[in-house]
Amino acid sequence: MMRKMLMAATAVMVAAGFAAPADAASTLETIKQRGKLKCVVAEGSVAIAQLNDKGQWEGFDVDYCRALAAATVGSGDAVEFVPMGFAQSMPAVRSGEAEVAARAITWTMSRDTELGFDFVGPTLYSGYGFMVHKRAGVTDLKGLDGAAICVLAGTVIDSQIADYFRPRGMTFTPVVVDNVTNMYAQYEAGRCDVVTSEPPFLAARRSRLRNPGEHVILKELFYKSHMGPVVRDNDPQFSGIARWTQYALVTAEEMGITKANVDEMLKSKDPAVRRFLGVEGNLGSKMGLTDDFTVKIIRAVGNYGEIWERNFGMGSPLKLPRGINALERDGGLQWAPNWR
Amino acid sequence: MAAELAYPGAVRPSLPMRAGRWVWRNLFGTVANSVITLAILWLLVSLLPGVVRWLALDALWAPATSEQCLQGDGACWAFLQAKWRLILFGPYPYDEQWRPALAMALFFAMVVASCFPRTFRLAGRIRLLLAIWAAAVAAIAWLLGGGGGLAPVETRLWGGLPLTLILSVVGAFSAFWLAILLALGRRSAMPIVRAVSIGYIELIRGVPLIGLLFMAVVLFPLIVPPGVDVDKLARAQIAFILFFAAYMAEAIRGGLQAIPAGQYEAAASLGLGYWRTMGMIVLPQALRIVIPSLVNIFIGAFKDTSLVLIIAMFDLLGSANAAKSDSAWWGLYVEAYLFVATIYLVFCALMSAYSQRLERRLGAGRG
Repeated sequence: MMRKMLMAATAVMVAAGFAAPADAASTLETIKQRGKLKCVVAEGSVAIAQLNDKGQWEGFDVDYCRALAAATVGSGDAVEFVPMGFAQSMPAVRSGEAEVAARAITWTMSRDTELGFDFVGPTLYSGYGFMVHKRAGVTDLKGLDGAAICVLAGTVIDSQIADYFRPRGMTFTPVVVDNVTNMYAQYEAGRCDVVTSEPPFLAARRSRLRNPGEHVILKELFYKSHMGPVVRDNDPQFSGIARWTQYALVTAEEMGITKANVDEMLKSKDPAVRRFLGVEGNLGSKMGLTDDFTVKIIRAVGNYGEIWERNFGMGSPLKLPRGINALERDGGLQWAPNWR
Repeated sequence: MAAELAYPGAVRPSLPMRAGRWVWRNLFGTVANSVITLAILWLLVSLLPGVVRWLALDALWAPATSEQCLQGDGACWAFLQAKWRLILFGPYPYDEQWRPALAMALFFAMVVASCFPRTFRLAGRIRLLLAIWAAAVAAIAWLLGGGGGLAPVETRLWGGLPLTLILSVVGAFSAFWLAILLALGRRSAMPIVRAVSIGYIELIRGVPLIGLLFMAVVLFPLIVPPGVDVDKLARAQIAFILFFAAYMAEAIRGGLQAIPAGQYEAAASLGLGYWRTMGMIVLPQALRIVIPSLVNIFIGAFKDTSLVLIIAMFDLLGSANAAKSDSAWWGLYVEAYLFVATIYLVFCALMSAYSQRLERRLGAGRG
């Protein structure tokens, strides 16, 4: 009896959750009517989404939210940030509580196909590597056999490590910690021999440990993690807008259009620039936006390179190199399709 | 003292002598006491210098940067100097933070006035007190939420200490009344009322608070049709009320069971109905008995509200977590947690001290 009731309740919930958004007005209409984009961000993640001293949101993903708000509503401030843990972020987009989740979600096949999301980007190409205490004398991944590895609770990293270790006949002891700060504290205290994260983050963290020289970051990666914002996959128009917002950021960098010179560039004679900025043609209005939506995006947050520098690069406390997130023409992976 | 009274002619020993005697008697009276005293002394001597050095001597103040702090040996008060407003008020708009500050001041003033009614000439004037409280609550809601001359601030931006206080105080207050009904319901002679009360209490007590919060915040939007948007704070608040009510109900039921049957019979022989029997005779006695366990539940509730950080609300602990994930201060966190722990400690200690005072006063007329 109880079981039947539970099943019925679950069925109702699932039906409501999955069917309802389809009947609703288009996502773009919803946002325009509200006058605000609802954007899920991490509830406090260094450089990705953080609250500054004045309680305002800053960060790489926060800037994407602002760009999308500028594209859809016309202002980078027209965002309602919905801070959420990882586990709730995708259900929130599913249920329509927010239109987009920008919280460094790793692009996987099942999330893309089975769970019914569309990924934007990747806005951030990355992978996982290891940092170890120098005194352990480890120089490559093989040396990690039998190590105690600090992993974050609620992530898939420990199973990824297992996938890498098992076929090679290696073992490890996962030391599960509840948050990132704690992870490095445990590592520094010697509770685990190894800590894992994206190498640029490992480098930035290492510079803030007590004796940075006593830690080595291994060169090899054991898991790739390419991340981007997600939207529901049942509204192709909005998925397109979300993707082309990212492409606009990258294209602006390619064309050398910045927050500072965008007004100057409106007078450019280059037809590609004129088309991109909506001075000529009507690419924007075909998507349901204004033709100058790219101008609004750039006025709000600048181009991809500016966003990077502000949050990760030399303009930030992290001082990370662009690495594989450089533009394609500079040997990186960030590119955009042709703007026509 | 007693010795002095017994020998009025005796010369009163000098202060150092009396102090010495007190120390000898109380701290070194037995072998076990001596060992414990020495052990504590040793602990103090070995820990205190380090603590003082960390807290004060080696501590770094603004304009120290996070890099200097991370390489330093002391506390980084510069970090707290930059972040204390974020921790206290969360994402509440910076320029409007005087409003939650004022609201809290008003709330504390009201609490003090209600806790010491004689000092403020409020003793026995329940109606006046209730009227002032109603006005104060309205003023607090206006200050926090805005409207009527103040810029509106949505509840999703409320955070820090005000949020913790709202969740715990509104939660405990509302849960208290629900708990009384549940406790009475559980002892009711009416089978349906009893079954519902028992079912409710056992169901809620069988679910962890965090599960209830997840249900309120994650599952709820999946169940209701899109467009229906119930405030997240309200959802979390209701979850807390439902949860605490179940625990309080059981505490109150304990008090009800301690009331002798003679009291019920006496009330019945006076011709009092059910509600008057309960309201005038049984509950006042029962509630007095359960003050310690109710305060216990309230202190627990006060700290349990920090679980909302799981559902990404910036209560006191949540905003401390946000403070530590700022790239400008990356790697620092101890000071933020220490700050928050101190606030929790002060509140819990005050609550516990007041409850002891209340017990003494209310218990004074007994036996």
